[in-house]
Amino acid sequence: MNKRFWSILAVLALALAMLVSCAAPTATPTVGPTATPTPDLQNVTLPLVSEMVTYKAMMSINEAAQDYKNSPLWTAADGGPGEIAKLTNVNIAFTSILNANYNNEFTLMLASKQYPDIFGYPTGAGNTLYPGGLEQGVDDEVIVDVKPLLEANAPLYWQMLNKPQNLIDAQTDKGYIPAVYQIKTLMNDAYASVWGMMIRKDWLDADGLSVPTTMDEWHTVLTAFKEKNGATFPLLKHLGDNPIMMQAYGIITNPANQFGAGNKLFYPDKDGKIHYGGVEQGYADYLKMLSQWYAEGLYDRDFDTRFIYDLPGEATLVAQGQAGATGGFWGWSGMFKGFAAGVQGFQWVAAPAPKVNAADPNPGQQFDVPKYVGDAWVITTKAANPENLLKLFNWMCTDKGTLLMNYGLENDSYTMVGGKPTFTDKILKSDKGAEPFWEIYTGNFQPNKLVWGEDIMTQMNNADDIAQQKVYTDSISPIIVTYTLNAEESTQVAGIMGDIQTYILEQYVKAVKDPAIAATWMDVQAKQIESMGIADAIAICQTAYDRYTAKAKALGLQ
Amino acid sequence: MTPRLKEGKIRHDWRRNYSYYLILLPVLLYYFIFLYIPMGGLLMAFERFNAAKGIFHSPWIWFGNFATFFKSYYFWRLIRNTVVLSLLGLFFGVVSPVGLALLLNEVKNRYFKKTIQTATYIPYFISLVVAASLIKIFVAPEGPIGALFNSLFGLDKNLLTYVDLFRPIMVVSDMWTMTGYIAVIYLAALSGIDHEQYEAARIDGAGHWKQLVHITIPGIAPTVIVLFIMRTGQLLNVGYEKIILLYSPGIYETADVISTFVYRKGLIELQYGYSAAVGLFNAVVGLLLIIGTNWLAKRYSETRLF
Amino acid sequence: MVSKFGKESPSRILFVAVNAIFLSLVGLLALAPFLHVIMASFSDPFQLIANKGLIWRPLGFTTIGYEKVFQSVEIWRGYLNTILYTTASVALGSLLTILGAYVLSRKGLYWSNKAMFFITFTMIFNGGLIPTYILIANLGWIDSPLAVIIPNCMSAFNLIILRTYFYTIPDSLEESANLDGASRLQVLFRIMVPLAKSSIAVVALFYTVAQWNSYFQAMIYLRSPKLYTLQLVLREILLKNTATSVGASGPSAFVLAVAELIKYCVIIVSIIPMLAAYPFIQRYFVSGIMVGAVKG
Repeated sequence: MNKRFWSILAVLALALAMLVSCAAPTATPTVGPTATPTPDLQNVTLPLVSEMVTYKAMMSINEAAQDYKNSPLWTAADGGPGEIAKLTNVNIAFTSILNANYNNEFTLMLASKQYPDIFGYPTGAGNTLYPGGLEQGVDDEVIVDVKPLLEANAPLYWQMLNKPQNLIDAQTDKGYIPAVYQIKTLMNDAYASVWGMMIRKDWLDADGLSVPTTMDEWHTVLTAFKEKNGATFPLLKHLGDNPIMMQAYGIITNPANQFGAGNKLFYPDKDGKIHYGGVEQGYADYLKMLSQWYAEGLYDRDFDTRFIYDLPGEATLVAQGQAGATGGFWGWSGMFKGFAAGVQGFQWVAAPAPKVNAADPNPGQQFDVPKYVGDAWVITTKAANPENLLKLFNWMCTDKGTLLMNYGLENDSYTMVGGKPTFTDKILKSDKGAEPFWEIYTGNFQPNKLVWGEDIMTQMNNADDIAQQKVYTDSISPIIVTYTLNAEESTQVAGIMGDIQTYILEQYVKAVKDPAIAATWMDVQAKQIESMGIADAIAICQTAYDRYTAKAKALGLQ
Repeated sequence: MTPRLKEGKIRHDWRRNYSYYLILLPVLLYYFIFLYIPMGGLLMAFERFNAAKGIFHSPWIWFGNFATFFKSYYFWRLIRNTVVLSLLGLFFGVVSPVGLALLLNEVKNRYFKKTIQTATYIPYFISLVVAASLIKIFVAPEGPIGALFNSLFGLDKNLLTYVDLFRPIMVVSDMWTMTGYIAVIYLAALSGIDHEQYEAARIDGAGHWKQLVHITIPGIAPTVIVLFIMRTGQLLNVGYEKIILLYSPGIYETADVISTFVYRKGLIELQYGYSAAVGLFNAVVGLLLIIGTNWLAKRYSETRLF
Repeated sequence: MVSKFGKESPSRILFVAVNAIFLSLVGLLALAPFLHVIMASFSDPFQLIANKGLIWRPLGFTTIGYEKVFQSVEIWRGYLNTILYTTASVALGSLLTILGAYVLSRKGLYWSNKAMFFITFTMIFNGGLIPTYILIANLGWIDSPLAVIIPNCMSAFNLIILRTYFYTIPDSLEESANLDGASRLQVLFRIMVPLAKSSIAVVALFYTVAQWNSYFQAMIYLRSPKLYTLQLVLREILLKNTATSVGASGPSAFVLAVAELIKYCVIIVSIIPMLAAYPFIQRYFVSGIMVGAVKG
C-alpha cells in the first residue's frame, strides 16, 4: 500500500466512491501538491490600504485562553493593533466565543441583525448554522458572494483555490463562493484518520498475544486482560460517538450520535446509495457483539454516563490497570502515558481499525470535513469595502504572509535553521501543549493553513505519535460525507428525525445492557424506526447526495 | 356595578391614590420592558422560525408545531415524567421544610437551633453547576452513596444509570439544596404565632400534640398555601438545567421532561419554533393550574395570592 | 436543663433527645459534601483523580490548586466584576421591590390586584431567549455590564415576601405621618423602610445569592473577557472540555491533573463571600421573611 495509491483512492472516494472498479484507479490531472504561485503575484505592496481600517470579526475558540488578545500578531503589548494591522493597515477586532456557545450566539446575532463584518464558519457546519446554508445567506443578502471579487482583489488566493478539488466544497450549487475558505496542506496529500483504538502493549506481550485486528481477536485479548491482568472492564468506552468498532460492520456514521443533526447521520455506500445505520443488519450485529462483551464484563461498566472528554478520568483508569484498551484521537497517547508514568513497563500503542473477518477489506471510515478546504471566513453585507478583507487574505497567501501566519514572529516563535523555519521552545515546550499554544499564537484567521502539512506535523509531534496515526490511516478506507442539504430538505429531515433521535439514543443504551434486546433489534427497534418515517429521511438525503455527485461530475472529478 | 358607577370609582381611585400609582410606575415599566416586550417572541410558536428572516417574517404554520408535539411518539411520556417529577417536588418541597421547621421549633437551646439552621441553609448558596458536579461525585460507583448502595442492594453501576433511581436522586438533591432555605420562611411564620394562644391552650390542658394540631399548623397554613400556589404555577416547569447536567439517554424513560425536550429542540437541534410551541403549551398549563389553585384556596381557606 | 426536664413527661424527654440526634444527623449530612470539597481542594492531584469515595482528610497535602487559583488574573477579575455587578443589581432590585411591595400592600387601591397579576403572570410566561436578546441588542447593551445588572434584577417572589411584611405594619403609623403632611415617598423611606429593614435585608440576600450564582446572562451578553463574571470563569473551569487538542500533542498529564484539583478550589473560593455575609443577615431571618396571604 503506497501513499500514492491512498491519495488516489481518497480523491476517487471524494468523487463519490461510486465507481465499482476502485481496484483499477486512473490518475487524474487535478491531483497533486499545490502548484507554486507565479512570482509576480507574490509582489504585494504594503500597506494594503493607506489609512487603517478596522473590521469586526466573530470566531469560535476552544477555550478563553485562545482569545486573540493573547497573540502578538493580532494585539500589540499595549493592547493596540498587532503586527498584522501594522503591516497591512487592515485591523481585525475579534470577538471570541467558546465553541459550545457558538451556534447559539450565531443564531442570536442573526436574529437581531447585529452580525459582524466577518465571521468564522466552522468546517462541516454545513447548513446547521446558517439556516439553509451559506448559499441561502447570499440569497438573503446577509452574505457576500466573493467569487466576482476574487480575481481582482485576491489573485494569489484565487489561483490556489481555483481547482476542482477545492471548488467541490467551496462553490455552492448556484455557483457562489460564499466565504474565504482555508486551503489545507496535507501530509502525504492524504486524508488522515485521526482516531482509532489504543491498547496496553505490555499486557499483550505478557499474555503472549499480538495486537488484535479482528473482533474475535479483540474478544480473546479483552478476556485475557480481565482474567490474567486483572482489569475490571478491559475496554473503556471507545470515544463516545465515533464509530470505531461499528465501522467494521459497515456502519459508517453512528446513528446514536447525540450531536448528529441533518444529514450527518446518513452515509453513502460504494454504490452511492444512502443508508441510516439504525435499521441496518450490521448495526444489530454490532450491538449483539457489544452487549455480549458487556455481559461478560469486558466492556465499560459506565459507558452510558462516561463523558466523552473525561480524559483525566479515563487515563487514570488505564493507569490503575482497571482498563487496558480504549479509543481516542491519536494525539492523546502522550497523555495516557503521562498518567501511567509510575507504572512499570507501561506501553500504549495504536491498534488498527478492527475488522469482523481477517479477509475483509479495510473498513470504511467517515470523513465529514472536506479534504482540501477547511474553516470558512464569511464576509457579511455589513462590511464596508469587502475588497480590503480579500486583499488581506491574499497577502496572507504570499510567502511572507504564509510564514507569519503559520510560524509567527522570527526569534520569538521560530528561528531560521538552515533556511528552514524551526519552532522555538516557546511553542514546542508550552505547558498548554504545542498545538493549542500554536493556535493561540497564530491561529485560524488565515486562508493558507500548513498545520497538517509535513513540516509542522513533524516539528510538533514526536515520531511515535505520527507512526500511530499511520496505523489508523492505513487500516481504513475513507468515505466522504461532506454533501449538504438545502433549507427545505434540512427542515424536513429535522422534523422526521426529532423522535427517531431520542428513540435510538435510548434504545442503543438498553440494547448494550441487555443481549435480549440486541438480539431482536431488527424485529423491534428497526421496525419501530421504519414506522417513524426513516425511509422519507433517507430519500431526502439521497436527493441531496445525488446533487453533490452531479456537481463533482460537472467539475470533472471522477 | 353599572359602567358609570365603575368609571366613577376608577376616577375617584385615581384622584385619591395617584401618588401611589406614580411610585408603582417604575416597577410596572420594568416588567413591561424586560418581560412583556419579549413576549412577542411567543409568536415563534406559530411559525417555522428562521433566524435570518426574523420573528415577523418567518413562514407561518399556525398550529403546525403544536400538532407535531401532540403527535410525538414521546408526548405522553414527557407529560408523565414532568407531572410525576413536579408532584414529587411539590410534596417533598412542602413536607420536608415544614417538618424541619416544626422540629427546629421544638428545640429550646438557641445555639443548637442556630447551628442546625445554618448547616441546613448553607447548601442554598452553591450554584447549580457545583451542585450537579457534587451529585455526580457522590453517586459514582466508588462515591460515598454509590458504594453504600452497592453493598446494600448490589447496584454496582453509577446510580445515575438506573431508570428507577433518577427521581429519588432529583428529590433528595433538591431537598439538600432547598430545605433549609424554605424552612426559614416557615420558621418565620411559626415565630409570628401569638404566644398567648399557647399559654391559653396550656391552661386548658392541651398537650404538645394538641397545640401542634390546633395552633401551630393553622398558624403557618397561609404561608404553606401561598408557597403551594406559587409552586403549582411552576408545576410543569421542572428546571431543565439540573436535569441536563445529570441525565443521559439511557434514563430518558424517567428523566426526559418537557423543559429538557424544549432545550434539546431549541438549543441543540435549533428548531426554535417547535421549541417555543412546546414552551408555550407548558406555560398555558401552568397558568391554568395557578389560577385553579388560587381559586380553590380562596374558596376553602380564604387565603389567596391575588 | 435538668430542672426543665423535671417538669416534662418521659415521652417528651424521649422526643427531645431523638429530635436532637435527628437534627444533628441532618446537619451533618447537609455539610458532608462541603467537607468533601474542602478536603479534596488540599489533596494531591493524582491521588484525587484516583480516589472516588468521600474524602474526610486531604489525600496528601498541597496548596498548589489555591496557588494557581490566586495567580489567575481571570479569577481575580471575575471576582471584582461579580462584586460590582451584584452590588449594583441588588441595589436596583431591592429599590424596585420596595416601591412595588409598598404600593401593592396598601389597601383600597382599585388597580392593586390587577397590577399584582401583571407581575405574577411573568413568573409563568416569558418570551424566551431570542426576543430577549433582540431587546438587549436594541438597547445597545451587548457586551455591557448593564445587560447583566438590570434585566432579572427583581423577582415576583421577593416582592411577595416584602409585601406580606408591609401588611403587618399598622395603618395608623402611615396615617399619622400623612396628617403631618409628609409625602408618600417620605412616609415610605422614613417610616416603612426602617420598620421593614429585617425583611429588606433578607430580600437583598436572596437577590445577592441569585445574582452571585447566575451565569446565563453573562454568558450570552458579555463578550470581552475583561467583563466576565466569576461564575463564567468558574463554569469554564468546571465544565471545561479538557481535550482541546484533537490532533497534536496536548497538555501534559500534570497540567490536566492540576486542572481537576483547581475545580475544587474554585468551588470553595466562589462560595466564601456568600458564607461570610450569611452570619450578618441571619439575625434578621426569623423576623424578616414573611410569606402570607392577601387579607380580605
